Order: sequence, then structure tokens, then C-alpha cells
Amino acid sequence: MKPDPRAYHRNWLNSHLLLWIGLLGLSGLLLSITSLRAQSPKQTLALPAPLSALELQGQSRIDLGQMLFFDRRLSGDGTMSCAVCHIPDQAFADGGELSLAYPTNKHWRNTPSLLNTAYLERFFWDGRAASLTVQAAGPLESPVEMNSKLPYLAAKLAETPEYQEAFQRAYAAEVNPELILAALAAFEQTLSVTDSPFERFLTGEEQALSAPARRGLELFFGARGGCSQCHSGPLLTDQKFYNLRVAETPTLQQDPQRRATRRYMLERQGLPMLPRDPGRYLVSKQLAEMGAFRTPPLHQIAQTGPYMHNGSLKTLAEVVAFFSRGGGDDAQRSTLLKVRNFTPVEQADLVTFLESLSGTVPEVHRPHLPGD
Amino acid sequence: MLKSLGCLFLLLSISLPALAKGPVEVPLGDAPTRGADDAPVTMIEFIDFQ
Amino acid sequence: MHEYTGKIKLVIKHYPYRYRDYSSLAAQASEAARAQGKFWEMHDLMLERKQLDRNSLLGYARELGLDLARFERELDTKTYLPRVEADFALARKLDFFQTPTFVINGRLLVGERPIEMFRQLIDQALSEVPK
Repeated sequence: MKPDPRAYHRNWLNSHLLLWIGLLGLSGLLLSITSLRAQSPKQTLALPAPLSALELQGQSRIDLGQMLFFDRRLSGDGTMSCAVCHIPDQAFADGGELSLAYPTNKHWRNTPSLLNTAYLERFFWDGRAASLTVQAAGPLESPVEMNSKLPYLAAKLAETPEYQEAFQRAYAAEVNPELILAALAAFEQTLSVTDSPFERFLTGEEQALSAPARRGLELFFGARGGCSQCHSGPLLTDQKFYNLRVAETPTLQQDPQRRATRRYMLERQGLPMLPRDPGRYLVSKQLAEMGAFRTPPLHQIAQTGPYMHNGSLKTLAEVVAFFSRGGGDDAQRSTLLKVRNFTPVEQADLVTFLESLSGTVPEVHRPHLPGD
Repeated sequence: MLKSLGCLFLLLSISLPALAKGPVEVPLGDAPTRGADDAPVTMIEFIDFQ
Repeated sequence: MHEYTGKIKLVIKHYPYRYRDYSSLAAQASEAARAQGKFWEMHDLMLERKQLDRNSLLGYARELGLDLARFERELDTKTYLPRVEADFALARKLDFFQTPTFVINGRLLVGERPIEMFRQLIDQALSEVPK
């Protein structure tokens, strides 16, 4: 799905004319765009379609979801809300290597951002949920996250008059577990970012990307970079599972509490304890998927570090360097990984391109909550 | 040359996210403090003892 | 925090959670201890022992050698409630939704995070201070 080349040409002509008429002083800008274009015919790259607009639920459902999102009643001991790990000011991720956990417990994976997740079909690093509502139930009931029980939570909210009213307003129904999850999903659907320079570029705004970002884009979608073998489609993910052999960190291998979390997650699936995070194997029990994780979507990626399922890569530069060397050191890693030996300029260009995937994060505040 | 450098800068600044929020300012009032008064770093903790 | 002696000042603001039985009481008790010069001692005791009902708080006051009659009176008449409420209102105004929330030279850290995340923010803050 490429933008119409004629539209592209028209846009280019328009900006050309405008610039000459209105901004004679900036002729250098025009020159640089022209020369860029000459070097890099966009037509040869298989670029994704821009993100389409999502159909949102009614405002009363979104508002209810937002209340639930920020309400610490949702955790077993009343200390955690969804917002603790999906922090609005941090692109709805949490800036930590590994997620915050229920008090005294420890988590085993990195918090994914919620931005643009409403477009996804597979959730969690191992893709074990197939919808936003199923996903939302995960942290609510996980002993290392919010450690609550949905039926009990529903009972608690049903005894809170303001929630009773809010559920009536939104769904004309009593509080129940399914509606709690549905409301959270309705709120999460509003967390989209569609105005990044890259998105604007895809809709025909050629100047939205800087020269380095353009070069990075060509690497990313070209055979040299190879990134779009997996990071394809509007979300820049194929939502499939690959083993990059990201090294396991000492804390995950040694910390008894983090090991306990891994042991628990495995046991729940009827599997024995394993020396490292099994990734997709946890769900599929296919040995071929041992250590494979879902290709993450890349929108807003510059604000959601550290990276990888265990947060072991701190910066985008480290991530690019990781792929440049062909991924982790293991024979079982995905055959799509190749030693690419990107030059320092290529690595910097790729980082600049990845930074161009960031747009305006919706501003969300803690709403008034019952009892405030 | 200068002009094209300027252009590059312009393009770069357009492509960078306008995300970084300003620093959070907290009026200290006469809140309890521990550590050197003239310390270069102030860490304010919003605490719940329970 | 010893490694940052002289470089960092810790400031406490109250943000008692509304739905807990003793959050506000404990915050007021820390202020009552402060009125007698023992805020940090009380702070440390409360975090260490975790029992925060009225009797436990009175026990800590006794242990710290505070004027018990005064402590008890100030607790029961809610002398320091307005101060605690003012902090609470400030936290709300700042849009904070979690305790603990830390502000390190203007940068936010939400929740009980690993020490490395504090170090990173403190070092960053130190590096930005004009020498």
C-alpha cells in the first residue's frame, strides 16, 4: 500500500511552488529535499499504509474505563492501579527494565506501552491474549501484578455507589467482571498516536522526515537493514514470534523472587521450571518457539525504553547495535537475523528513523474517583 | 552552506517528538527535610505510611 | 543514600490514601512527633514496624520519649490534619496518582522502584547542576 505517486507528485509540486512564492529565503530547504528525492526513490520501498482511525466507544464507557485505570481499588491490597506501570507521562510504559510488581513480589518482564495497542491482535510478550479485554484481566489477577480477583472486584465496585451509577450510565447494567474489562478496553482504545513524522510522511507529507530519518527509513524497509521482515504493516509488527536470543540478565537468573515468578508462570501451564524465559513456548509448547517473543510494535518506541522482553537493552542505539551484530549469541536464533555490520552513520540513521515514530501522546489525567 | 545546515537543523527539530514535559515544581513550604539544606539535589517523597 | 551525603536533601510530603484506615492518622502522628522534634525517628519507626493503629502510634511516641499527653491530645483533636490535607491537595493538584511518588529535581519517579532508577535520576540531576 503505497501512497498514490501522483498525489505525492502533486504535494511535492505544491510545496515547491509555495516555497518559492512565500519563502524565497529558505531555498536551501527546497534544494535539500530535491536532492534527497533524487537519491532515494520511495517507490522501490514497500511502505506500510498509515494507521487508520479507530472507532471509539461512547464517552461514558471511556470515562468509566479511565476511572478504573487510575483506581487503586483494583489491586488486591489497594496500592496499585494500571497507571503505576502504564504511566501516562512515560508513553504509558514505566521506564523500568522490569515491571513494577505487587508489593514484596517481583516481575519477570518489561512493561509494554499501551499506545496504539488497540490495533493489535496479540498481547503480552508471548502473545497469550487475543484481545484488549483478555489482556486487561491478566495484570488484574496476576499474583505478581495487581493480585485481585475479578468477581471480588466486581462486588467491591457494586458496593460503591459512584461506580454503580457509572456502570449504569455506560452499559445500563450492574457491575460485572466482563464490563470492568470492557470499560478498560474502551479507555485504552483512546490511547492512539497517529501524528508522528513517519505517519505524516506516509500520508504524503514528504518534509515530515529529516534527511537522516529518510536514510534510516530506507535501511529499515530495504534489504540492507532487513528490519521490515518482521516489523511490517501499519503497526510495524507482524505480530509473530521470533527468537532473537536476547541475553538473560543476572537478576532474572539469580533473584529467587524473579525465578519464583518464572516457575509460577510455567507451572500454571503444566510446564517444569526452565533456566530462562520460555517466551512463546509458554503458550504454544512448541520447542521451535522456545525463547521466541512477539515482534513489538514500534510506534513511540523512543519513549518506551528500556527494550526487549527483559529490558536488557537501555537505548535505541543499543538495540540497533544488537541487530547490527545479528542478534544474540545462540545457534537457535531466528534465521532472519544476519550480521549486518551497519556503519556508525547507518546506526545513527536507524535511530533517527525510530525516533520519527513518536507523535503526540494523548494527555490523560487522573479523574475524580469515588471517595475523593 | 550555512543555510543548508540551518535547514538540516529545522528538519531535525521537526522530526523530534514534542514529548518532554517541563520539570515538576513542588512548593516545599515547611515540609520536614533530611540532609544538607544546600544540597544540589532535592528529592521530594509523597509518602503514605500505611 | 549514604553515597550521596551532602548532595541530596530528602523532603517529605504527605499523600495519605483515602481508603485506608490509618494512612491519615499515621501522617498526623508523624507531624505530632515533629512538633516535638522527632519526625524522622517516628517516620523510621512507622515504616519499620508497619503497625499504625492508634495504640501502636502511642507506643512509638512512648518509645521515643515524647510528651505523651501532648501527643495524644494533638492526635485526638486532629491538630495536624489541615497540614496533611494541604499536602494531599497539592499532590492531587500535581496529578499524582500513586504513593510513593518521588520528585527528583523536577523529575518524577512513580512507585517503589529499584535503587538503580533513583541513582540514574540523581546522577542526572547532579550532572545538570551548574558547578
